[in-house]
Amino acid sequence: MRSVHLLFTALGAALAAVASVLACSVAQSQQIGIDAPPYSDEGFGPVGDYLDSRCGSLDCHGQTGRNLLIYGCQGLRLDPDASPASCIEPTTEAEYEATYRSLVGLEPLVMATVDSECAADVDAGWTYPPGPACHPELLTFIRKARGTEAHKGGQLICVNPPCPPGTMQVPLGADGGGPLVDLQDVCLVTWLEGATDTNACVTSLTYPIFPTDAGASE
Amino acid sequence: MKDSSVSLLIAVLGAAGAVVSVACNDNEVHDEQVAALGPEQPGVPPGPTHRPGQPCVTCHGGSGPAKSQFSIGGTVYETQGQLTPSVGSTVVIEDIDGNVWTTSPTNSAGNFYVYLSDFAPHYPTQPTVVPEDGSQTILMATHIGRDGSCADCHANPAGPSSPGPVYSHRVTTQ
Repeated sequence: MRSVHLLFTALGAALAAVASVLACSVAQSQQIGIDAPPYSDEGFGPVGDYLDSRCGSLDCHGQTGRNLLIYGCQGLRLDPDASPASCIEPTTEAEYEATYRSLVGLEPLVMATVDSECAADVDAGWTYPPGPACHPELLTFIRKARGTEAHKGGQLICVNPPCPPGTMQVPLGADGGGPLVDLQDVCLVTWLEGATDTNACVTSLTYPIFPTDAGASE
Repeated sequence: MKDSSVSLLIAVLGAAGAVVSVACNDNEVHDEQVAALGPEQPGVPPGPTHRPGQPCVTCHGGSGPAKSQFSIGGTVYETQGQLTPSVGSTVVIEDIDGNVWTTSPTNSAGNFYVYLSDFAPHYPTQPTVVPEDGSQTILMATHIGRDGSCADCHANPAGPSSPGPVYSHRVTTQ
């Protein structure tokens, strides 16, 4: 009788072991995705360069330990042999991807909401300002950059004047006939819409604009 | 007073003391950062030439233990990749409002510092290092977002999160 009991116990243990292995296999074969603007060189590259330049200095989001971690040639490097703050070694593909993952992974549910609401903008004829259903401000990083939420680095983007020092608004559009906008905001919002305005991102690399850079030195 | 009452009073006072102790030591992170800097170098007492290459504002940022309060402080070396102090260099700091501050010349240790009472920059800032001979100027490649201690980012040695110490002369190769 005791032998039978031992046999059942052993069989039970064996089944439990097999079940746990199978369960692990299933879990490992699944990945949890985040609905976000897809990663691509063309779509995210200019945004990554802008974030590296504007937000990724080594004392800000180029500092390991920050929730939003930005990699790039002007700040934190992934390769232990690469040098920061020098673009002699340009930002690598892996660094762009790491920044992208950090950004879209900050608030996955909110990012999914913004993605679903803003992705339809382009087809509906909206780019910037975004369409009425698109609310980038739901994302904390947008609110912090716009200065509508406390940010140690201060307000970086000027959506509504008066603009903080270092930022400016310019007329949107090649003919200069559009509304006054901050091109940094255009860069980020158009990325969220899935139609990155590369020119806006490239121009934003010159921000913050120091008075001497703007030719206003005494 | 009964023995039990005395014991209770002692327990209550002890607990209150523990709470006060914890409340007073409310910046353990800062304490750890200070402790991580280690002791003074032998033969170099606290003063303008002490602790070259260390993040000045950790102690001189208002949370102590230093009494003098700096907004910016650092150490400049002669050339990239070596640790000979750059003596007599100045650092010109422009903040985002256009205020410009030129530091006193770096001392024998290469140290410079700016008293908060003299200049409290509105970040971001962009610094330029000018060596004593004025032969060249080195504008920092990126801006400073918030940190007054050069060494927090310019730690030695260079690595993926540090470009290495600040220097005043580029090494030209022919």
